[in-house]
Amino acid sequence: MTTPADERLIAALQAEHAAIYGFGIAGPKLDGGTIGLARTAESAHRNRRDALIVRLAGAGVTAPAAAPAYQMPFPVTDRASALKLAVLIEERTAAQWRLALPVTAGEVRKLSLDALIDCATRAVAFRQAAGTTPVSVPFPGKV
Amino acid sequence: MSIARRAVLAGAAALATGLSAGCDIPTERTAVWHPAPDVLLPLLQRTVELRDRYGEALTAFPALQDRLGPLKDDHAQHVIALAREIGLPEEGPFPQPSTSATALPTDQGAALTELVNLERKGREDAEGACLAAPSYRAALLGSIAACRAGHVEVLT
Repeated sequence: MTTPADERLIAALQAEHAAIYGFGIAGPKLDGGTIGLARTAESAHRNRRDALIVRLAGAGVTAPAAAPAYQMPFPVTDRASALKLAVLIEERTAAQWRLALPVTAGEVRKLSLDALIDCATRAVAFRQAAGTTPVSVPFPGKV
Repeated sequence: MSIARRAVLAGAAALATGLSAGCDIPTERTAVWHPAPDVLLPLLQRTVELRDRYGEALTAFPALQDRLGPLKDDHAQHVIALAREIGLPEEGPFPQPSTSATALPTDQGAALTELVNLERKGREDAEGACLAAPSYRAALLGSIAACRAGHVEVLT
């Protein structure tokens, strides 16, 4: 039986799968100044995914696999649309981690909070790179 | 039993008639009528200080408006949200601790460094509050911590 916490972690894992796929799409459209940012982000999402799979397996929960492909919300054709996608990925992933906070405690809440903070910080970095204003939002992850 | 009961009743009577000074009712009998301050009050107070420090920086260095103005607005939003959570009027005034306010550095670079350090401390502050919070407050406090982490990114 899955707990409410397990369900939120499964949703976070699905968001991480989509994030990794999305950076695979955005990466090739980025330039020297932003590709490093995207690589760091993708690697961070891979680490979160792996940590989640281990945690869910430890709880006896079957972790969902990644979908073969994910529908992009808009065509990713150039640097600007790739950065827009990167911001959106971080915002959506942040939202899933934020939803995990109320149903978790202790170590798992810490893991969720760290993930929310990381996603929000990268969203700021991608907004800065894209020249979007304002670069920060008052309540990251709140939708 | 009858003495304790009389004390409680007397305490209630004193409150009902507005008597408090010079009353010999033990405080532990009357304390029950005054709820403890909300555990988020110190966080709210430090958030007000953070917001106001940005205000001072913007007064001293108006050229930083584009960069600092939106960050100050975020803190103002946090003040409103925390006040609402605690049940205080959004616009204040809030009970502030009597701290000796230091002057803002006169050098712009030093003032920005101070703000970065305040954001880092503020992030840790909100993280600690989130980890200790009951379910219904965890998301708000987590977002505040994440926002402050983002501010460090903007300022560095």
